Amino acid sequence: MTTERHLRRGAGAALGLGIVSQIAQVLLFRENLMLFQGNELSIGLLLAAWMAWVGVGSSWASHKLRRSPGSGAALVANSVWIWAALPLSILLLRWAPHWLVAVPGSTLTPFEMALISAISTAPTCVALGIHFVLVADAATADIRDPFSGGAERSYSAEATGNMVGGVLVTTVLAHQWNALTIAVLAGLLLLMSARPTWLNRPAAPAGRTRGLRIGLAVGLTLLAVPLLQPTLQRLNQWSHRVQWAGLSPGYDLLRVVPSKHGAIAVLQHGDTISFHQSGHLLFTMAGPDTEQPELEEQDAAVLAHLALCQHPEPRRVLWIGGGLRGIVREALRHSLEQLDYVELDPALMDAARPLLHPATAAALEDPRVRLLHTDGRLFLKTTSERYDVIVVDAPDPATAALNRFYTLEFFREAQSRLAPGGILVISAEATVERQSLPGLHRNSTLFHTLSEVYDHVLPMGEQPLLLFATDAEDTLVADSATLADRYRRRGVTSPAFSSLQFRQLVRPLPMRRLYWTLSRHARSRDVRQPKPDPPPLMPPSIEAQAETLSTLDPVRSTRFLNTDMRPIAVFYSQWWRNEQTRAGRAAGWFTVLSDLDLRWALVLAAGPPLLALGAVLRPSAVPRTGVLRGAVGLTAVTTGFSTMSLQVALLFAFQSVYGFIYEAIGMIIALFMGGLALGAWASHRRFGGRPRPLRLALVQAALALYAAGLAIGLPWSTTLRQPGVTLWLFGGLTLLSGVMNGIDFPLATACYAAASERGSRAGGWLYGLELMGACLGAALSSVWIAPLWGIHVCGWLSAVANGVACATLLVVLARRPNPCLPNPCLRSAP
Amino acid sequence: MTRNRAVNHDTSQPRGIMSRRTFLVRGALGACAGAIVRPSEARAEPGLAGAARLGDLQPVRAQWFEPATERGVLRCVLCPWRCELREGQRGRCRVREQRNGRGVTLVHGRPALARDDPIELLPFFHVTPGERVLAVSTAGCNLECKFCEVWDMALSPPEEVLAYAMTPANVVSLAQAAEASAVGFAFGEPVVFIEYAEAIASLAREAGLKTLLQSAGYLEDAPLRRIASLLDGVNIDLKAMDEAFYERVVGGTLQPVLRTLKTLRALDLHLEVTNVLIPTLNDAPEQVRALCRWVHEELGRDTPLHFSRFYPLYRLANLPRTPVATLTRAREIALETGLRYVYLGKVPGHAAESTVCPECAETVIRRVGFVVDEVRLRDGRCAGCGATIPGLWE
Repeated sequence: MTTERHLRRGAGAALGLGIVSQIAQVLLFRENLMLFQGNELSIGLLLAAWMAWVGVGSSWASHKLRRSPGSGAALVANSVWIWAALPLSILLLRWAPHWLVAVPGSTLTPFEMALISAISTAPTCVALGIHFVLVADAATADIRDPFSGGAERSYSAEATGNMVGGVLVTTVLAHQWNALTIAVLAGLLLLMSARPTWLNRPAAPAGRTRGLRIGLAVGLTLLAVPLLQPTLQRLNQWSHRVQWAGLSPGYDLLRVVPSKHGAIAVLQHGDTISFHQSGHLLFTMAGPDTEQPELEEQDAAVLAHLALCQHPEPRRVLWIGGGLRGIVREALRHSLEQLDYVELDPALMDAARPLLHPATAAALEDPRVRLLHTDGRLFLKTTSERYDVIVVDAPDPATAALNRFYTLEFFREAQSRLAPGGILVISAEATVERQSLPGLHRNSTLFHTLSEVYDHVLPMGEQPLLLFATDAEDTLVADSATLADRYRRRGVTSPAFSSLQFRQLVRPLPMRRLYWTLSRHARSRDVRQPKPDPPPLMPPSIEAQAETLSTLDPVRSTRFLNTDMRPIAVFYSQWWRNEQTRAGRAAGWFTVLSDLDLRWALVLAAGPPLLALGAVLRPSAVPRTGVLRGAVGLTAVTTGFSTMSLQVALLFAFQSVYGFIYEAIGMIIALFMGGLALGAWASHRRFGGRPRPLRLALVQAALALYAAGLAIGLPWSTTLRQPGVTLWLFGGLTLLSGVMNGIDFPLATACYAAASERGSRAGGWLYGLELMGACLGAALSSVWIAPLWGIHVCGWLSAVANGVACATLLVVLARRPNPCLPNPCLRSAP
Repeated sequence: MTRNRAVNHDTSQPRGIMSRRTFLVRGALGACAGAIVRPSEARAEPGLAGAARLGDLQPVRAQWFEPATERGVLRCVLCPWRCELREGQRGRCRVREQRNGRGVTLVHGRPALARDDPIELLPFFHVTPGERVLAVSTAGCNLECKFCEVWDMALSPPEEVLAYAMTPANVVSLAQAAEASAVGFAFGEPVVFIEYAEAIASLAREAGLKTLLQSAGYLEDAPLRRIASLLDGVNIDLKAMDEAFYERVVGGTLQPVLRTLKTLRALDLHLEVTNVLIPTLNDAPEQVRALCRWVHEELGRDTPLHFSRFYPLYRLANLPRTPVATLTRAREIALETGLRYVYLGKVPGHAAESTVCPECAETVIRRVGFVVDEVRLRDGRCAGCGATIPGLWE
């Protein structure tokens, strides 16, 4: 067997591993999200669990597994394990609600989510980590030269596989087959990709017989898939019913609709229909047989009439989200000329349409209604229309995607689309007495962000909180009589609403207290912004309060302005959600993270170079190869960290600037993985798998410079308005990020192998370290750094991390004799 | 006593009580925090209230503590938990503890909520329609409902809750300033601030104000009888006729609540009952029927019963709201069992928000939400047929 043939087979197996790994990630994440009700915090936990387990698997394998002719058989055995583990994990996750969900409809705590993430991903991910080492090992089997590049090629091929797998599962597979079928197919693909290596095992029968047997086995399996498909389909439907019987016992599961934004489950209870996306309750609407749909959908009626009565004469209205729960029907009672209703997910509309109450269906067919299936923010950027009222009827800003409708930049975009005297309306969850600190932080942030853009902001209501904003004088009304008068004069009649209700909804004293609390919070000189004093029991009028705002301390804009580059409302929303699972106790990780000063990271950053310096100055204390291994290992960790941190930053920035279009986001991720593969391939070609520690240090320095450049450039990108330019720019930047990070791994592997006598198993060890760094980068950047400190800070932190790795390596290289030359023992090994 | 031990397994360490180590750690942290945090100035509103500083608790000696069998341990006999507390330990209500050998309450004169609302909001539908009530509440609760609307106040320790500094006299003055006809203890759980409520109720009565209580009714008989003697009307939240529901969703037990209701009926107080119908958890027709039968048999057919609509919130944020059809069906069941005043809550515009004379079927009080639109009552009698409508109408 020639070296090239080995490498090709190893690369084929790694490509298969990459594809299957990505498919498995998508499938397991989606199943977990159903259980976690779409909580975005869980994605960070899942990513962390995923990378940690893969890291554990690859590290363990690189330690324990010995190169032997039997590794091909181990590869096949591992493939069979993954083949079985993936569908079984999916089935177990669907059965889990029966013993995990104590009370139907209740939320899981972050600890429970972390535990489930760890348990559900372990069987597959550990095996995937082992698989990488086996693949890299097999690629260099029988090769006397450890620098032949097995691990590097495997890395490059796996990254390519990741890209292909991501595109495959999101654009093709998910539309064709259910999760179980995809899992079985993925297992088959893995087995097929391992086949050439298995054929190479010493005990394998020779010649054509061997190939025939393998071919027969694969052929039979391929034939079995279409035969199994009906059974898998039935098993899939049955397991969905089992899942929802655990999540929502007493509800009838009507159907599960695949959607690129998360599976939509349609449930019925009595005459009402509820829609859950990724397990999260979206909304409930009246069913086709509901006697009084207006009473059933009363929350929609209240929002529609409160919002539209705030404008003296609304004619053209833009409603972003929420229209299926009776909003459109109620809004049309106000003699509008045009109602543009933006709904992102067409699958949701398709799922709801046959179940709509006839009155709601008729409203959607009204010639004044224009239904738009696009991202609301992208629509606002591109439309030339002007509106009297724009209503954002989206869920709370608990995710980066949702937060885009609550940022300073979005409010400005909405402002530019408002007609003179126009009003923007947003809503958010709240509690009656606003005692929750994160809840207060979040809602106060929304108030101050709106106030930064609009001249007049009026908060109203308790559950939910409504915020009205306009630039026009004397437009916003805090008086129930005026609103009731507008309602009556327009001749609006609704079975779910009457002009009397304004007296209940618009009460002077609670509104004054609400204004007092929201407008005065976030002005404390104490950086931790403790809870303020409670509002006076008899506060001054809202007008009087507004006049005195300029005399107060300024708002702490770094923590209480929600911008595209610093989506702080996401952090507060997640903190608040976490608090609700902890019975109101405020203390916890979010409090710690909120109070933690990022400057400590700089102090920590000085640690590795100083340690390296100590080792250099006292050569007797640490073996010279040990110091190099540590420095190279550090580059793997920092590369993993900056890989994920920059990816998070680019994704956050891209969807803020461009809009949340699933295909575009998928393309960005695919470009990153493609760049990673390209970089690894180019690195291998350029350096030939030889240890070049100085080059490695230079690559780290280049990465640091690039990350710093991104940190400076990203805030500027928010000024872009042309979608085409945005797409190209972010596409290019993402590809470049991937390439830069991809170059690093082959160089690091070669250096580590030279210093450790591990040969090809160095790849597995470094792969594990890089995944650990990636795990840290994903969790910290998405949950803490980007929301609390700003997206651009992800770039700065990556720059610091890579700079530290570069400095450490340079310090080590300053030691004479240079410990980084290829190990002579290894070179002479038989 | 036996039941208490079953619930409160480790009586030396009830839930919410600090261990010595935790106390030391928190004490040290608190000292550090105190060194760097600038205390905010307390704002005073002359005659009404001042804002208490966060964490500025004023322990006041509490009633309903007795020595336990073990030396140095006090037993709180206010509610069925009967927590046994060592020095520095706090009960599961989060607001009562043993300090310096005495039982104290930490929320006396520290209401977190003081607001005037329509009486209908509490809800009382058979008490002076359209008038206003000043409602007060503090931090703390002796239950842990997963659908609590005021979880950030009731399920939090008083150190973490913003509060006013208001003496009982301040509360009564505020009620008078707001032109309220009643003082109410509602929205949180008044049982945990029973001493404060008693002091306010006593002064309110002297000032000619009505006194109303809205509670889950989870308390012992003796304190119940004491406070009841100072009250005009009570609304008890009967959360389900199901012991398992109380255990899983409420964090308590059913029997003490039923005992409270029977006692209140025996005391001849004005009594209304509220039941929040939560889809699939307590809305089964047989459960509703059992609840209605019990109310009819034990409390009488004239007891107003409110079926309130559940909206997803707090720990049950992923459970859809109650269908109106479920509420309507529950009301039909209640009427079938013979109850005469059955209302639906949080469905503004529904006919079942209004009071209908059971004799002539005329609407005597028309409501939209909590807003009273029309009253056709004369001296507590239907303006149409003259039938007596039970309630506090003066």
